[in-house]
Formats: sequence, structure tokens, C-alpha cells
Amino acid sequence: MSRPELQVEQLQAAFPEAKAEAGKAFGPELLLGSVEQLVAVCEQLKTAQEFGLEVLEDYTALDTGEQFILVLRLTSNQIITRKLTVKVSISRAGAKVPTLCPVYGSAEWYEREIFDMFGIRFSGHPDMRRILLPDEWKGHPLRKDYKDERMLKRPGA
Amino acid sequence: MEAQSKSVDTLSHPEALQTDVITLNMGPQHPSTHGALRLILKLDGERVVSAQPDIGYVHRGYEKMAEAMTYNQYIYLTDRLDYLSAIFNEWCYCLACEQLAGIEVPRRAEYLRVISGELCRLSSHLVWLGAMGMDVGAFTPLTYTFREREMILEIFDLLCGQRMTFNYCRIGGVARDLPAGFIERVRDFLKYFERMPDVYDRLLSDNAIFLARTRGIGTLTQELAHSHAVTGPNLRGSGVSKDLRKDDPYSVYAEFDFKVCTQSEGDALARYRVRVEEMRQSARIIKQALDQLPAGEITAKVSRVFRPPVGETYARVESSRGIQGFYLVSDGSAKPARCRIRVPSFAGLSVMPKLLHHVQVADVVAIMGSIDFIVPEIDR
Amino acid sequence: MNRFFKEPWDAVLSLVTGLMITLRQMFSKPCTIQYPEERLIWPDRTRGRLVMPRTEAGKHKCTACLMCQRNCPNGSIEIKVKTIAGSNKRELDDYLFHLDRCTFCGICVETCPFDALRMSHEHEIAVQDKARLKLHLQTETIRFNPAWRGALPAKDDTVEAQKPGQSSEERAD
Repeated sequence: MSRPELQVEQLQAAFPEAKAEAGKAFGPELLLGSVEQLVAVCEQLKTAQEFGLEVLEDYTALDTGEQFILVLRLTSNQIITRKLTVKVSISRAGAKVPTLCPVYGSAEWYEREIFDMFGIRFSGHPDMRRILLPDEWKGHPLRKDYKDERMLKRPGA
Repeated sequence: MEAQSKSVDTLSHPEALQTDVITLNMGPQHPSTHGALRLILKLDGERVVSAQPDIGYVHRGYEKMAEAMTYNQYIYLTDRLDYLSAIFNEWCYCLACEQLAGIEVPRRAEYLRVISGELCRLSSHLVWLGAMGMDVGAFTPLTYTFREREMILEIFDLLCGQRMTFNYCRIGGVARDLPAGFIERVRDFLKYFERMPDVYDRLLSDNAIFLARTRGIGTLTQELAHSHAVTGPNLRGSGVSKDLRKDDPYSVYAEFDFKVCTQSEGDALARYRVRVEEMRQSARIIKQALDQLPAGEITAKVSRVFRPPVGETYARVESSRGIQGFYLVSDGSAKPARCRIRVPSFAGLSVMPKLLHHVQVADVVAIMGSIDFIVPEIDR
Repeated sequence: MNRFFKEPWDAVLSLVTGLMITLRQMFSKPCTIQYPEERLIWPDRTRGRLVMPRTEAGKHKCTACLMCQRNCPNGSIEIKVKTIAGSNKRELDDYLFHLDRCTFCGICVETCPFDALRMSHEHEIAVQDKARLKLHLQTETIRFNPAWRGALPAKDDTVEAQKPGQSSEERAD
């Protein structure tokens, strides 16, 4: 079974309010305009016959200094070479991100990790706690403005 | 008061028996959790009502550390993610760096990576096999699998000077060429190893106790596997034939003849069978790689200070536990702006609460053993 | 009734099969060694503790270029430099090696441009006092050992002859 890869035009037609690009890293890239669309878009990508991306392989965030970018990697277990990157920018100060837990089971822990590392809160998440760091930890380490006195100082640096 | 003391026939109505749910703290130091993992079990008698893994006991901040280190310095750290199959971490990281800078790896280096990678897969599955046997009460296989694993570790010691933390891959190739006598040694090992999967089969696969402990236990349905992004042997045990080496061939895997092993049942026994079969296939790949090994350079020309152009990439390899991915973002400096590690065990463990729902408490150990997660990789 | 006897019988049989394998092990050579008395021979590339070996003349080759300090991922090397009085020449004053931070990755040896460092095969390095893990390498007088080839650059090595791999059938005759 070898159905063709996802096409940029096909994505653009299905999601007119988003911007589809030919990505280099992991399939085409779908840049969403606003974070509110995220759940609806993922729902469609998962259930619609022409996409069938039922695996959320990775879900992470990126701190550019001005804003956060959420990065989702979607793949399929049926059409294995099919892959798609979904990106959405959110503001650094308290953006409300809807949870993807009802759509993808793996999102539950990934979102907890994003909260742990970046401090992005997901509304509607069943268990919004830190996952890797202890509960009493101060700050969110992967933010660019995070400072920690205990980090290793290299000699000569 | 009177209404409560009225006697009920609890034999025909077991639900009328009011028992307390007790909380059992399994771990973080527990011999069957394979690392510092804490599992909070709520038990109703012998039945698990809810299971909540608590992770992060060996969190070392890998993604943060990457921001303070140069690309070359970070390679050795990746060994300590999944320490049982360390080469895949290095390989994946170097692959991401090579994609960022558009470096083409010489063919000999790719072959050396494949040989060491498949040896690593063998040793990792051997550890798993022994540990899995021990989890369900069979101690002897552990001593056998560790004997064979020791031989592989000695081969690695010969190749790169360390038994587990290899530091072998480099951006653009591998650190060193094969030492004298290496090919001979691997061939001898493969010849010896050829009949070993059958020995394990006779020890475990036909053993009535082992079958009773694993058949039909911890069934991972395909829907659950898709939803939780389970990859690797666990997914193939549920009947999905997904293996990046075959389906999205990176490196030189397209040049080898091997089978992707799948089982349709999805229980602990199916995952066990997939892994034992994978060992045979890995041995086949190594044999072919040794036969076809090309001559040539072992590293591409890469400047000492590695400064990739601005951009980002996501590289994946099929490690012994599933899909390992590195997401690297470069801002043009000598240090990565963001390094995200996608680890297979994280997804494998996140499915645990669903998998452990309403199982017997004795099966918890068997299921955890069959999933084959590794904690330092999850915690990063 | 047939099943009643057959199942336990098969179970016992499967156990006996396993026990036969175990029994055979009793008559084979042990694969372990008696450690403190017997020792394995380490391969040349083994990466043990970092040393600064002395040449025949009793001198080390370090020029205090700070390459290893800059490249060490854990900051386990701290070098103090002094300038020789009367000239601009730099010289090594103190080479402090924090063994407790070292992960034996070998980047220091790999990047050393003067071949002044080696990873020895010394691996029994556990001590009971943390202070003894701070080593001043320039004060040690360890003789150079050509077998210490851990983490050296690839070109300085004994390498398997590079020819296209022979197939196993060819090798047989």
C-alpha cells in the first residue's frame, strides 16, 4: 500500500486559514494562524480519510525569545512514510492553549512536559502537574530567561 | 444501623463485599521497575484499580545542557540516555547534525554505524530477555543472556574503548576505524550466537510457567498503540509492521535483506516473540554488513568547530525500543539553540495507566517487563 | 480426562527441556574469572584514567594551550599558566584534573594537538576520600606506555586492512 505523500496544496485546500509549506525536517509544515484552531485541525488530521495521521509522535515547544512555538510531529501507522509537522506560535505571557488529550492519548504526558519545561498551561488537561521536575521547583528551565545558580561553570568560560 | 447489619449473600453478590482500596507504592527503588521509577498503584484486593507512574527521579536536564555545550561536546552525553543501546542515541544526534549542515557521510562510516548499531540492538534485547525472564520468575535465562551480552561488550571495548558509553559516532562519520582482528571476532561471535535464540526458545518460549505468565497478559490494542504513539517492538507486537529501517530507510539499511517481525496478539508473549526474532534478524544484518563492508574514509570533512547554518531539523532512527528522534534548532552559533529528544520509552510508559487497568497485581511486573522501557531515557 | 493428564505432563516436559540446558552448562568451561587474582587484558583503545605521560627524558609535552580545558564537556580540567620570567613564553603551572567530574569520553586526548595526554588503562580508581579525586597531573611521573591508545585520533591506529569485505564462503577455503 503506497499512497502518495501529503501534498502542500492538499493541506492548503483543507485548511484555508492556516499556511502550508514544504518543510525540510519532517514532511510538509502546517503553520496555524491561532492556537484556537489546534484541536479542530488535529481532529480533522486524525479522522479524515485523506490524512489519517493518527499518531502524535512528538509534541514540544520552542522558545525563540519573543514567543513560544508549539511543534507537533504527526505520523501514521498505516501509511508509514506519511508525516506532517504542525506549528503554532503563541505569546510568551499566559497564552491559553487548549489540550489535545481527547484527540491523542500521548498528548497528556507531552503537555505535562511542556508545562514543566516552558510553563505553558493547557486548559482542559486532566492532570496539569510537573512531570520530570519536583513539584516545588521554581521556574521553567527551557525558557530562555531561566537562570540557575547551580548550573556548572566551566573553567575559563 | 439495622439496615447495614442485614446479612447479604456475598457469594452470589460479590460487589456487596465492601473492601477498602489500598495504595501501594511500587518503587522508586524496586527490583522490577528497571530503574528509578515510582508506580503508585491503587489496589482493590488483588486487582489494580489505577496505576500512575511517577517519573523524573533521574532527570538530568539533557535538553537544557545542550544549550550550554557545543555540538561536538554533546555527543558523549547522548550515550547516557538509553545506556543499553547507546549507539542509537549518538547516531540519531549525529544524523540530526549532519542534516542541519548537509553533510554526506562516507559509506564505510555508515556501515560501521550499522554494524555497531545492530550489535547494540542485540545486546539490548539480551538484557531485556534476561530481565523479562527474571520478572516472571525464571532466573536462569539472565545468566545466559548476560554471558552473550558480555561478549558483545568486549567487542565494543575493542572497537571504541568503552563497554557501554561508547562515544563512537562523530558528526560526519565515526571516531575510529575497525581495530585489527575485529571482523574475525564479530564473525566468531555470530557463529556462536547463531543457535542461541533456539536455546532461549527452549528455556522460555516452551516453558509452561512462562507461557501462563505472559499469554494474554497486558494486551496492547492497536488503537491504544496509535493513540499513545507507541513504537518499536511493542507496536510490532500488536500487529503493526512499522520499522523505520524498512519503511523509511536511513543510512544504508536499504542494502540489507532482513524481515520486519510482527505478531498480531499484542500481549506480553507477542512482544517477547518479536524481540527474539529481531535478534535473529540483527545477526543477519551484521553478517551482511561485514560481507559488504566497503573501503574508504570513515569521516566526512567537517571543520573542528561545527557551526551549522541557521535552520532546524528532526532526525529519527529505529532504536531497540522504538523511534528515537532528535529535534535540533540552530541559530548559526556553535551551540544548539534547542535540542529536543524524542524517546521511545516515554510514549511506552505513558500507556501504562491504561495497560495496567484492572489487571492482577502479580501481572504488573510481567507487563512492565514486557514493555521494556528504560528510565534514564524517559527522564532525560 | 486426557487433558487432565496431558497438560501437567507437557508442563513437566518443558521444564525438563530447560533443565537439560542448565545441566549441560555444568560440564562446560566457566565464562567468569576470579577477579582480583585473574585479570582481563584490556584492549588498546580502553579509556581509563587520564594521565600526562613522561617521555624518556622525564618531561611532559604539555604546552598549556588550554585546548583540553576548552573542549572538556564537564569542566573537569583546570589549567593554570605562568609566563617564564624575562620572556613571553607560556608554561604549564598547574594541571588540575577533577577525576570526580570526568566521564572518560576522551575528548581531551582527541583534541590535544601535542599528544601530551593519554587515557591509561587504570580503572580501579575508587577512593574513600573525595579530596583524593583532585589530581595534579603535572606532578605525576608516569612513564609513557604505547599500549594506551584510547581516544587517539584515527590515523594513529592499527587498523583492520581496508579491503572490500570477503564473504564467509570465500573465507572458508
